[in-house]
Amino acid sequence: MIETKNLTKDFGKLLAVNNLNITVNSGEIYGFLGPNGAGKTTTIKMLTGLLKPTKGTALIDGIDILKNPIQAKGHIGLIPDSPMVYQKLTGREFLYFVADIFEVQRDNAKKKADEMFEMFSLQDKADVMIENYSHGMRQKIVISAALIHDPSVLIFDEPTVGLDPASAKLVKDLLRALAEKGKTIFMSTHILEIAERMCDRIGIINQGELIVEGTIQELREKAKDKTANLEELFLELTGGEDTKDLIKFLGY
Amino acid sequence: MKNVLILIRTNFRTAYNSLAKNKKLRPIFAIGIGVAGVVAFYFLLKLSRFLYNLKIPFVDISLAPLVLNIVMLIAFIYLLLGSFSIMLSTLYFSSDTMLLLSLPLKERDVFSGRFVFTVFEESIWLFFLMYPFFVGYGMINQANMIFYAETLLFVLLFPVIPLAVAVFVILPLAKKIHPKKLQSIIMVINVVFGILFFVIMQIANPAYQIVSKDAFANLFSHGFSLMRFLPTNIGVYLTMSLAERNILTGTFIFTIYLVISVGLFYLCTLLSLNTYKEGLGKIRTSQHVKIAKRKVEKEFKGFSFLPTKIKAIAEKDVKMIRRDQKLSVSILPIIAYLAVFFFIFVVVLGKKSLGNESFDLSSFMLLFFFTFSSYMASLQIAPMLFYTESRSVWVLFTSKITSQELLWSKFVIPFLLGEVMNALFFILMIFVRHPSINMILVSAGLALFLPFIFSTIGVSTSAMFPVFREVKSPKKIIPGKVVLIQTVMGYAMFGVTFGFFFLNRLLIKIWGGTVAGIAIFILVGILSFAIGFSLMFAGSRRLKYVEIQ
Repeated sequence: MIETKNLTKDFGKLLAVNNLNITVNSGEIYGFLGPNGAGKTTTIKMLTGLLKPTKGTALIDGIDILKNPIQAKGHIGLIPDSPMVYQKLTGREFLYFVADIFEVQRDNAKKKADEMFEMFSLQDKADVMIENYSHGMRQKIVISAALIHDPSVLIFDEPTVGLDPASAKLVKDLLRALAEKGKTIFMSTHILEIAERMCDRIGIINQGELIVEGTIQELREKAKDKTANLEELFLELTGGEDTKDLIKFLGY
Repeated sequence: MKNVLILIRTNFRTAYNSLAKNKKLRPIFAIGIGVAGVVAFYFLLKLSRFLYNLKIPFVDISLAPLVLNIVMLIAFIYLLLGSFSIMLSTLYFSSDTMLLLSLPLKERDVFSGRFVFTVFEESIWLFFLMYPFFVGYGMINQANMIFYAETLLFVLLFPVIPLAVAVFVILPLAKKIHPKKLQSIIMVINVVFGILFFVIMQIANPAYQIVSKDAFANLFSHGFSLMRFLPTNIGVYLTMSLAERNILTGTFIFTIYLVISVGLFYLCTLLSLNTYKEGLGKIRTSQHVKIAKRKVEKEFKGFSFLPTKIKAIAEKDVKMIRRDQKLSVSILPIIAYLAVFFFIFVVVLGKKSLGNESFDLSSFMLLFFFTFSSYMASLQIAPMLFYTESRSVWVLFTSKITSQELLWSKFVIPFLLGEVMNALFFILMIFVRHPSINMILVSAGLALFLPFIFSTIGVSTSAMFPVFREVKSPKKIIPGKVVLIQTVMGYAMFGVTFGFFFLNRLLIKIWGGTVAGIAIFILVGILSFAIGFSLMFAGSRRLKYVEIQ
């Protein structure tokens, strides 16, 4: 479970995230949407202990990330948007390395790593250095690393970026399966179709403020448009209607 | 041509913008660099005028042409050696290369833009460091404006020949050998050449009496007679002609030089037509080359005595060092330098006596060497290992690792490297110098504990200024503040060693050699642990949150 309490971050004059209060329950997939620069990545960095909030805090499975960061991090698996990993390690070495720092027994790590390689069809690349991986392969290895210690909370920043259609489908199925197993899934994405189809609840952040939150049906009710899809709702709520007018004006 | 000019203009803008992130600070930095250059120019001008006024005793021949030639020769050799690495990284590893090639630009234009900008970059420092010697020559000969103008153009064009030589070698080779491999080969050749050059200079140094003065003079006289055939002599002929107001001769020589430079540049662009694209193509297809050629390596299991998390990071770093040529090539010269310095400080200078009973140079050199060895092996490596995490550091900071554990894991390799190096030199020192019990104890104290203190300094000061962004070499992101603090702390440790030396002498008089040695051994240990643990604590407090760029 994830719970934020008045989570706030400012960078001098810029208020990146303002009094964010969200709760994501176990077994739930929460979509965190917003335009570029809205504060999504800043929120994720605060949730994972990479960034210290100016005010407020976040609880991971009831553990305060500020007070007990190491204990809280033990419950989290993070998949960042850019899969920056040690180039000079092989995929297998990287997974074992992550398993070691999460104190997973080597036998379990080996079993889990083999499962991951098989699931993502990376068996023949397991002993190849990561610098030779494509973007999609790196994304797969990062997802594998996030799952190797069996975390209860998974935080995805753009989960399907760089993945081929088959792998993207696999990740979507995996997310659903993990949620069914009771994992808490917090997902930031720009692909509204994925959010609409997969997320149990959606939160939209704009200029650091959570402007709306709820199921897709609740969002429609709030926007007073019962037939709108998420893209239309998103544009309306984040002021992107202007973009639609511009596209019309240009004749596309 | 228009595209080349656009590329050069963009390069200028990028170089200016990279002076500082803050827009307002850029002109200040630019002016600062300019002022530093003018100060260097002024002092070198003074130096050149001093050197030009020297005469060869008894024969009254001016040393000015020789000095000028030596200055140009040093610049030429430096440029020639550096130009291989410079051109290779400029042509093949610039971050914007792929972007440029995706634009409607010819490879020849990209090449030309890069070459001209590199010539300009090299010319800037030549203007501040080499041109003063021409100005000085003009001043003592009361030369006219044509002298200053033509010699200035000569200096600005000076990098063309060495860079062109590098291009003639690199472009065809990069067609056959992968540019990354070529980069490693050039790096190794440069390091080997540098060490050889240093060793030869030391052997030739009359102070060490390794080569007799007569043999050295003989070698120098032969070398001197060969100097007339060196390529930089064209600069001397040009300068002398213009200084003597033989404007026509001087301008003729300059025109030949200009034609050679432009001709070489043109030939380079022609060569780039057939070769540049293929070399770049190798970078694009590097995946297949590497996968096919990867060797099976023996798994490193030397850290099994460490706690799991620290062991995992230390073993990961060992793999990175073994596999990343930039890291491993940075460590090898340190070991080579230490071997050279051991020879100089312990074997050569350690035998010397100053004839002063209050200062035993031989003993001091032993202590000095172990401080130096620990400084080189531990303090030089620690920051590199820390910053090598770059953007991948998110893996550690979102895991169950504490900042203390992270710092201690980064401490392991520099500390062990320092200990291994010191142990090796300690054994060698015992055989070479046959030191007293006192000296064995004091040296052992320094050899054992100084790697601890230098490694903690290296790791903790890096942690105080964490920078995590993607770079080709971790050396490039070590902040200036860290280098400055570590250098100051390094010097402070040399000062402390000096203090231990005199304290040891004092204690010998009171307690005798053995007890004094034991006291110093314990004192060094206590001091190292007190400073080391405090620094690591301070570093870990700073490292709780990081900014990954």
